Amino acid sequence: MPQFVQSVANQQTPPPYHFPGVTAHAFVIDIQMAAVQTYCDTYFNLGDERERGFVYRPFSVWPYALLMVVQYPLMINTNRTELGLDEIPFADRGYSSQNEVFLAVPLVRHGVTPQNLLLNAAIEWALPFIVVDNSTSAFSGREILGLEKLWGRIDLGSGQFPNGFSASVEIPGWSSLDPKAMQRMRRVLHITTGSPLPGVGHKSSVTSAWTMLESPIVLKSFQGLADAFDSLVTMSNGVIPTPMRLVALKQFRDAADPHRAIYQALVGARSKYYDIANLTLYNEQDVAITLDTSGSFAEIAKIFLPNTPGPATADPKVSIAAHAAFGFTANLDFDEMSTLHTFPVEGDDCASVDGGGAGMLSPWLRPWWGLINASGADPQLPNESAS
Amino acid sequence: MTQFIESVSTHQLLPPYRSENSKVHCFLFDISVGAIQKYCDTFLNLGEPSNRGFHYRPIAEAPFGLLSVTEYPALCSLDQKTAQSFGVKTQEWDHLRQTEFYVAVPVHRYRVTGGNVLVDPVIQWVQPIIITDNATSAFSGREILGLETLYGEIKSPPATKPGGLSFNVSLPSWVVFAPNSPQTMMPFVAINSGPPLAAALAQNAVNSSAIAQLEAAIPDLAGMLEGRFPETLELVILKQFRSAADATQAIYQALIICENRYSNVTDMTVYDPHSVTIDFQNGAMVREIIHTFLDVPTSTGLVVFKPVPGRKVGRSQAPHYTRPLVKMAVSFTATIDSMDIKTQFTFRDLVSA
Repeated sequence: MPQFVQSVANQQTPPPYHFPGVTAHAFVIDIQMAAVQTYCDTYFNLGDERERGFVYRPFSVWPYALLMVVQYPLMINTNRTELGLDEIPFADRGYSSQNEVFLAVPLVRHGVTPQNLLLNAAIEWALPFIVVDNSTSAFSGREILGLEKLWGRIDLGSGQFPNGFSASVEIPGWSSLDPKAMQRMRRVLHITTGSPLPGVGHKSSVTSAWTMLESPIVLKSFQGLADAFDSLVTMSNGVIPTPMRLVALKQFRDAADPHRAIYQALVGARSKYYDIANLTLYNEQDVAITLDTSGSFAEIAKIFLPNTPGPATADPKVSIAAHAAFGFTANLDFDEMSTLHTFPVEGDDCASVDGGGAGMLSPWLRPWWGLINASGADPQLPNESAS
Repeated sequence: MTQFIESVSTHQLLPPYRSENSKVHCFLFDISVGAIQKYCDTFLNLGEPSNRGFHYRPIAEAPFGLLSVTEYPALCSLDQKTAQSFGVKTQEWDHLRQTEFYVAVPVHRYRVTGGNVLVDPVIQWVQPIIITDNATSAFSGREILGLETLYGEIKSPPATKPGGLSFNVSLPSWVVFAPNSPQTMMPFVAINSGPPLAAALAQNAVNSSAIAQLEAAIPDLAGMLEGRFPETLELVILKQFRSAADATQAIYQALIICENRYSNVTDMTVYDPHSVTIDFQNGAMVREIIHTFLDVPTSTGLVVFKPVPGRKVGRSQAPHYTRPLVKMAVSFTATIDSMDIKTQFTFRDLVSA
């Protein structure tokens, strides 16, 4: 591959990142398995199954998604790549901050042949809806990792109840499908909670996702996940929320024909929460999540609410029930970026093949792969689909 | 054809684009030929000339930058497929408002013969700096065309002089580069002018060397300014994307061309160039942008921009801000079409990793 022509003014800050002291609020909501399967088939299971060698499916034992609101007071870029004589490494440029709202949906990925059924098995999270209020973060996430980041305004507060929580998200949108409709900032999502449940806040013993699961309310929220694993330790190692292995379809349009793709690949990254503290639990009955489904927001509603009638609904504001709601503080690292799989695209003017293969290896097998794979064979058998 | 898969986040403004009644404010200032050549070599002349078959150079008679603030009251997409996918039949789709700040520089694209001789010069324009206040537009410009569109704030406060122009452009940036330095929305540039000149004075106010430079880059300049016929300016853009696994490597590099067609030009207004001030603020990132694209040294020995006399001088001896000498300032209203977008050249295997 050729060198990227570094241009310091392009508002990208390539990962990895360290985010100390984030405050996260998580809301466990229903998601329909059929909708998740459609999402997998549309964005991840591209082309012929045998050629690509893997398949993504919903994590059916836990039919929920996490709607998360995260405050990042410090976003520290730890990329120390030398950029050239006159340019300062990203890590030495300074820090930034942002608020982020996203929907995280767990998926199972596995191989499709006896050889790679387990080798390629993993639990990964898709993030079909992300809003950030920092444009540098939006550009970097979209262009480097293929994350579906939108830029918007995110107002956080305490709502109407003491020590409660509220979040309001505005993004640019169109109020109708009228061709003359003008884009404007519109509120797409609003979340409020009641006051925290007494007696469980600021639990000093909560230091990890595992200990957080000792809380009966949190555990209940993730019971389906727990049943699917041998132990909670195993579960916390791969599922909630430390570490979350993310998967995204990174793709770019052809300039001449924007309906044609010049590059399509699955990209993975790790989002690892640790030093979890200050667990706060909310009564899920007090949680109100309202999604505006009107106009161009109907596309977003299809992710949250696949049975939403559409933009012509009389009342476009739809309530989403929460099964659990909790907040915590943590440190967060974002790293281990990789190209999991590059899909072949047609055309001589298309992008380079960007690696792939090794990233598909199951996390449990990764430490041992060098020992058992003396031949250096690609674990992504039998896929040889690089264009 | 491999279909691009649409999603919530890819709801970009798809080309071609049209914006009627766009208000264009242009300010012409000199840039050194060396700075333009450096930009061409860094962003356009990748690999060996004999392999790629073209070479970019400055236009010797037109070593200038055209700084523009353009207000688009209703920019829209003329792409038919998106509207059809929603069951809507229309010629125009996805209207939005934006204000854009950019610096455009004309360059010559030469064909390289077998004997490494440069022939057949064609005028194209590069946009080393472009800032918009609309995120949808920024995503589209960056991801479809490859423009390095920055997202910022562009405001038009009341002018200090009646009838004058006033624009403040801000960017998320750092005052100093240091691990403990916070990113904030910082002033990038402030533009102010005096009132429009009366017709009788306007002719004399336009710098003749500026006109000569413009005509070297826009052969049909007079006709366009008088609204008699449209003028098409061809942009050339390096479109590139990073590898996720190694951000120093590019998975795609190509030169994209896009024709910007100005028609229905009306309301031509001329300002006294001596009344115009363009002040680039002195933050670390701003200095870096100016240094990178316009080859302005960051400490001493300014070549293109002149320090403002009497301003505070910091420890680095850098001026408080840098101010280009404006040679011409005009405003006009026009319909702007961005169309005929093509991939001019895809860089493959020309540059070793």
